[in-house]
Amino acid sequence: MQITSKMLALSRTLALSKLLRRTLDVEAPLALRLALALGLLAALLLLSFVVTMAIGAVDVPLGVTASIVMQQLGIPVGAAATDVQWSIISHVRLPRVLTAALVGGALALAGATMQGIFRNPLADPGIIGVSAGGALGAVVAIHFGLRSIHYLVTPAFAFAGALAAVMLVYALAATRGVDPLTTMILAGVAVQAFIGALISAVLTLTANVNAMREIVFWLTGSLSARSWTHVQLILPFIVVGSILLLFFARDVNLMALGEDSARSMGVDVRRVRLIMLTLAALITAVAVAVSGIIGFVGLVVPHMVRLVVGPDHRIVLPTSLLTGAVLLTWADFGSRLLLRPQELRVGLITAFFGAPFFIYLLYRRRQGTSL
Amino acid sequence: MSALPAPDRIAGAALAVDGVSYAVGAAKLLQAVSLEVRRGSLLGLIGPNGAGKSTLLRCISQLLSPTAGQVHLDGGDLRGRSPREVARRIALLPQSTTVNFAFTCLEVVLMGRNPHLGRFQAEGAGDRALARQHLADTGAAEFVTRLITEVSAGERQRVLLARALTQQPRLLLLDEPTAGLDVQHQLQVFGLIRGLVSQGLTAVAVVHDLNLAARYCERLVLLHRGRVAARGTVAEVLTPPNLARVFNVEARVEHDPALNAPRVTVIAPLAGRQGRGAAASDPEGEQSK
Repeated sequence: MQITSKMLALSRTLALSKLLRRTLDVEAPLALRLALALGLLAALLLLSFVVTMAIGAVDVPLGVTASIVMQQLGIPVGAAATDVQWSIISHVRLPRVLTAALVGGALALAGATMQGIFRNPLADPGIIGVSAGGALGAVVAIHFGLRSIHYLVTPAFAFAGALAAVMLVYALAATRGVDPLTTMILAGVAVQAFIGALISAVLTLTANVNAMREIVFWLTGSLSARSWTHVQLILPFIVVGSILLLFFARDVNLMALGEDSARSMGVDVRRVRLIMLTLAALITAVAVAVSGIIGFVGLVVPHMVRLVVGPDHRIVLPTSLLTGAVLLTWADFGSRLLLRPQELRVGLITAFFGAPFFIYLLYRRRQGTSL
Repeated sequence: MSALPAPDRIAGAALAVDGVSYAVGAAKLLQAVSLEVRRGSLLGLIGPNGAGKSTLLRCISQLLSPTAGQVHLDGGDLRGRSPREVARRIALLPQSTTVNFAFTCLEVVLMGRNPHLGRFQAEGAGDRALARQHLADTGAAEFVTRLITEVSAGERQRVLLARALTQQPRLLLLDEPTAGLDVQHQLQVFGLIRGLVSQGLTAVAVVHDLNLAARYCERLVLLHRGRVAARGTVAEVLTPPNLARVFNVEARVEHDPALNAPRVTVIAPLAGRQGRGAAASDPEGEQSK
């Protein structure tokens, strides 16, 4: 009997995996593949929210956590929560996981977009100077103690710095006659190096030890103590920016065949590229502004996603968004728990796990598996 | 050298290029180029490096906007049309295409449907059938699920040709469709194009190999320094004086009875004159991709 039930379970698993494979197969209709991938990831994201919020310095039962989330969404169900539980979840942990998810999603989507547009699997949101510019803005704000004016001054400076750096890269690349994509990458490298030097200079000039610590912290990214204000600040930018980016998903596919080919198939390449780079830079700037520099999410997530769903950007872009959200939620969870009661920097976690994973991907590719 | 006068109007020409010029700054890449292509025929564009062949193809496909002159397709002016509108009429197979993402060959061919689909419209069963049909036409039916990054250069070119056909264009533009292919695949690709043309497709191809041009094209246009140096049937264009004047080579042209086509044998570069084709610095250098 036991064997039979085991075989039944096994056959069910096999049938499910077969169904999964069939649905993920390129022959399956796009809408079905998309619905499956996004459905699974959305469920995973919700589950991640509840689990990572339930565990912490004070543990809250999963059921209570879930019911608080439901009540926040306006659905009055589930167990009653104590005031402390309610307050921990809805005022501390929920805004924090939401910020993590938004930032992770934005970075991954921006990374997937950049890799598609630059036709370069090594592109990430930082390639056109966004992250470096954001860092400089924040560093300046911290150095001059402007943070004491209002706690949102640092994010504002970071945002302004990120956009200024991108505009500088654009301006440098907008020379005629040379391939603008190559010029843009080179201009991005130059601007990043220049800004790096400026940041070092500011650090050297910072006499205040606390400010120095804070700068170093900011440069490795953190999501601690993020409030509803942060969520409200970034939510509209990231939601609208992401939706607009998805409009152009098929155009990115066509651009993979080169500018002339894409143009001859009806894509207004220059215009689409400008719009998409601007949107990707915008959502990255917003993410950097509230979280500091969090590396490897934008670089690695699109690669992971393509391994599973293939290279079609109509699926890669939205799937990267949700995968980035899930991953940063867990990375932030790790940053809270690994060295409890101390908190690690989340940028440290993403780099610690992201870099080896990326090397693994490169190794796989060398063995003949295409990215 | 002065440009030849515009050709006699061909009744019902599918493509008419009328006095097209293109300049970047002071460099005049094309000067008053005119040509016409009959429906269901293959026109070969030949000429030395930097003569303006690729630039002309890019002007015809509206990738570049001519600084003067017009391009008419089936009697309609192409100027001012959106990329999508042009893409429904003209397909272009660029000189070399590298694909950086591991799309399957079928996915690549389906991309050709883009100008016919709405922004959020996915490819339907009809589009898939069409894509498979053209993969079969180009002898690439078995590549459907193979990755475009993993097929050979010759196979990739066939898949990309199928992609261009899936656009259902009235005019197919080919920029050295056999560059980098071995002899067998050169003949295969041109045989394929020939077959499509005999079914009514109109095509213009930039061809570097004069013997391939002689064998597969009905008519030729010889470009030199951005101007039309000669045009007409293969026998009219591929003459030793033309080749000496434009390519600066001594050449022999014989009729090959086996192929029933002229055969060009280049004997030696001509001494004494500046070889335009081999010149290192060429102010009219063809715009690189």
